[in-house]
Amino acid sequence: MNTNETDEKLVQALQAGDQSAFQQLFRRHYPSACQAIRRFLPNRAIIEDLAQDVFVRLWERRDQLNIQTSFGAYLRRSAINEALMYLRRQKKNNASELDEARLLAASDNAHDVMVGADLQQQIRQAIDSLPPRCRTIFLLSRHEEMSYREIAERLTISIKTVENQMVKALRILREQLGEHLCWLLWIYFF
Amino acid sequence: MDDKYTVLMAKYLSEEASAEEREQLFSWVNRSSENQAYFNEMQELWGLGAQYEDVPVMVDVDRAWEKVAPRIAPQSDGGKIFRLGQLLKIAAVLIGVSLAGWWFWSQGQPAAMLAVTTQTEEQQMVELPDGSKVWLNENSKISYREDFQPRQLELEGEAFFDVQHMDADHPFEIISGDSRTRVLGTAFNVRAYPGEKQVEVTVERGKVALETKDVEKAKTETVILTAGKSGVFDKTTQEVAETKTTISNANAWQTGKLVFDNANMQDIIQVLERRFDLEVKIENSNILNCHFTGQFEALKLDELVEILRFSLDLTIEQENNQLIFSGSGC
Repeated sequence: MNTNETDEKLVQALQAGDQSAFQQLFRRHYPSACQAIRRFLPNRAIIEDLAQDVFVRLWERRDQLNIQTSFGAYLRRSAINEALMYLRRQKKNNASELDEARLLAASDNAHDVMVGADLQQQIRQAIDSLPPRCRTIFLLSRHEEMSYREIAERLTISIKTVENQMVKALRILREQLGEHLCWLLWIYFF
Repeated sequence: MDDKYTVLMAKYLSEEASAEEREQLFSWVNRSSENQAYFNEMQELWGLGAQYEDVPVMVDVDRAWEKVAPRIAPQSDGGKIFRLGQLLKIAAVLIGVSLAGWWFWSQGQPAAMLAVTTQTEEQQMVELPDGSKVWLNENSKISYREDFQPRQLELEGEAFFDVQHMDADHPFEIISGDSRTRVLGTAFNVRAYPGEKQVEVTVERGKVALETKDVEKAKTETVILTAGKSGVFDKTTQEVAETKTTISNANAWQTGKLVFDNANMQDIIQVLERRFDLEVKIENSNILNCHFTGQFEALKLDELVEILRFSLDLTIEQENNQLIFSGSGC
């Protein structure tokens, strides 16, 4: 199969059981699957394991695939689902492990902030400083466009909890990014 | 700032607010310039949130592919197990045909085992070669010979069976660890997750024998379960016994229905804990005196909690994986 084939063509070939098409999709999209999972799970070894599981399952279910969006978007959603399922299993096993993982991630980023504290890095730092569950919920709502109900179901929490955590996120972010808000508003008003 | 309106703002921003909520929010925003400013700030903040970018992650795609490639190869699905017994049987037939042919055949074609595995939050229905049906609950696995002769399969996890074509010469058997469930009738649930202390069998229709896998010991360690009865196999003591009361709603995961018929609180708690992976805490022992009758078509925790709260006049709070019941009880 030609290496410049579109994703769409490759997916069709994959559905017919073409292993080389699958390999090309893997090469093209494996990094972004890892990136999507990284957002919710900072541990490197786990990220790659989960991303590989996503692809293996994709292969195993190749004849039942029903992709309505682009393959990239589909895969990103699958990767995030995998990460959330992992979080749920963790929650069952040991909640504190999760917090620890997040702390590690925070220290990863601390360096970036010191070097050049531009707005984007401050936004990242502010969001990464949210308590783990609060951060996960905020990012799922803000970036993955999941509904409150969907988030509640995925994380097995109540919708009320999602509401409360969203408010908490906005409050903390307001504190952290307050000075930028004033500045932006100032531009608007004068 | 008023909590209620921050909730509405968050909902508005994430496009969760109803028309009515939007109206409420805007009438509040328009009430004062202070409110207006707070709302503007929140909108700005929401905009800033969009600029969140991940720390780029570096991965070695070649190395990752080396790990994935063997997992998608046709031989590596974990289903094919080389069995000497089966080979010899087939070999006996083939020897008459061609010794050389057998040699080549045995190199490439071991007798096939089939396995079906479900992940978290996944259920699957499997039709076996004899026409029997198996509904597999999440995180479960069944494996069996491709020809399904003898009619025997191994189960890890939970499944509901509807067995077809019963006859005494061809029993249908399920092996879970050291327990054996011999099917004498038709529909039943087996719960045998590796992490749990016991294997549980609940019969819906017909008759099932639950015994230890060890054929000698099975002569004494057997219990016959009829429709509506449950039995357990204790993994530590290796003993089987019929339970005093039937395990309620054992196959709720398969039907999606929960039925409580004047059920006591212990039963309700057990169902909640199992089906939703929760821990229930009771703040007042009088709550255990409560009974409940009701039927639920769809297994939704929110609704179930709401109805229990309402009909038993309880306060139910959810914290992480805990449901805390408080109130005066019954």
